[in-house]
Amino acid sequence: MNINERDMFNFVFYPENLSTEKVEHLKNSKIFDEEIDFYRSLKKSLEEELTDDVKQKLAEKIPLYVPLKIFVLYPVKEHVKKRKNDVPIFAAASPKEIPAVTAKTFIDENNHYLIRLLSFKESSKIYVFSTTEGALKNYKIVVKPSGQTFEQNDNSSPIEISTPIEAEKIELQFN
Amino acid sequence: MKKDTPILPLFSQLDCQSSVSRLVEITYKIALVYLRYNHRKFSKIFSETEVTFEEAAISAITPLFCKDSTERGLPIIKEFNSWQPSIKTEDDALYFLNKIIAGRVEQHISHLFKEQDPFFAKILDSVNYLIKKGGYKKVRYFGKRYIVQSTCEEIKNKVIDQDSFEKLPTSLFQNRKTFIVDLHSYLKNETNFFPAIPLNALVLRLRNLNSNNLKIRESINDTSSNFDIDEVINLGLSCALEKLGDSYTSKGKLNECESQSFRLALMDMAEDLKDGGINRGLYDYLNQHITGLEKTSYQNKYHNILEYLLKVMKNTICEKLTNERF
Repeated sequence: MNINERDMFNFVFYPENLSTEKVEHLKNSKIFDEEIDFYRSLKKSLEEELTDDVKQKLAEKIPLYVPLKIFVLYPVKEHVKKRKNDVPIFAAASPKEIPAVTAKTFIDENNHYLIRLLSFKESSKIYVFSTTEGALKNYKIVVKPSGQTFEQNDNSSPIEISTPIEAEKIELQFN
Repeated sequence: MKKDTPILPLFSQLDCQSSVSRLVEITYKIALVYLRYNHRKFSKIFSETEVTFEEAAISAITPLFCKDSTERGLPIIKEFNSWQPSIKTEDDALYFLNKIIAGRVEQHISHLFKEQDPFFAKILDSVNYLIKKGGYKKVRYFGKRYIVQSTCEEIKNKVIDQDSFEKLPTSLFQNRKTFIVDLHSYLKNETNFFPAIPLNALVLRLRNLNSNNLKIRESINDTSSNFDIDEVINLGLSCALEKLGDSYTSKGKLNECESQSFRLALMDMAEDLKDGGINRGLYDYLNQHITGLEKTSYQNKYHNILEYLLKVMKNTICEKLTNERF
């Protein structure tokens, strides 16, 4: 069976683009193990963040490159206190506000940034806060795993989105 | 696919700083993996130049992000726009980056080989001549250049690996007019590999065979003349030693004892050039002749001088090789 470079690339990155025969052949044959290992290492490497030292070296050699400051914020595990009293308390009806379906808080490992994600039935709002600085300026939010990206000039108002958002983690990127 | 950043949108957003920086980082990652994968066995050039894989990866990708003199845009964008078939999907974009960077890294490695060993460049020129003359062509496969028959469109099967290539019978390389044909038919008829000859590995193999014989008989340009590696290298060494005496010893920049150590280090380098090229870092050459030489002290006092003298030696060899008629 003829196997070219693109087939091996697809086998690792996009197996759905490859015929079943070729997938089976590459799975069972040991001939291309080395080439496939290369693409596997590449795939792993693409998912890793560069060290500050490497970013610094890149910036020294490539004037167009400005290291990105990226903070990854993970969901905070919230412990909701149970009410001692089992009697239900009803909230007053509000004609304007659509009730939030979910609210999730995200925080980075150093607790410098906090993001609050409110998902309504048909929309979402993202609030970005800093625990150490005042106003935040010129940043980008990347919602993972969907990869949806939102840019803001400052955090004086929330990002409003016309669809509900699901997030496992959120990246906060500054230039 | 679980890679984090979509690549295709980056190419349309290169006016945005974060997109450029993202693309640089992705490009670097590919170059580094490629170097580690393909050049584990060519680590000699990295030890000589004391360049790390990381630094080599950065140097290799830098030209892709530097505007040319006409300021018409980044080379990586030009490559993207002219790529055939045109790039329409995310998988096309990643494959394109992978191919373009592998090629760029190989070009950089080839440049390092040529800089390190003047004989490599000379033999490469001669092999290129034979490729053209013999109805062959070069194609890239995983970034490496391979010699294939001009009718071959694409490499479609396993190619010979470095270890197996080094074990091929010496007799296949001995006829200077027919070694490409001989190697081709050997790969085709005697092995299960695709008939494609790895170019750099071929040049290195020829280089090492020539080193062992000491005399290179060059008849591939249809003229026959001999040149003596000893003679060419000794000429380069003499020029470097002369420069050492005139510019450093007699001017008091190096004392007699230091000069003697430099002399011995340069002679060791010349010996290694005869035998396949410089194979250690420059510090190691001098450290052998100066007891207790610390690396910081070497960097501050001696590195630039030794690097310059080695350059004098190599340049003289290159000039001699260029002027020789083969």
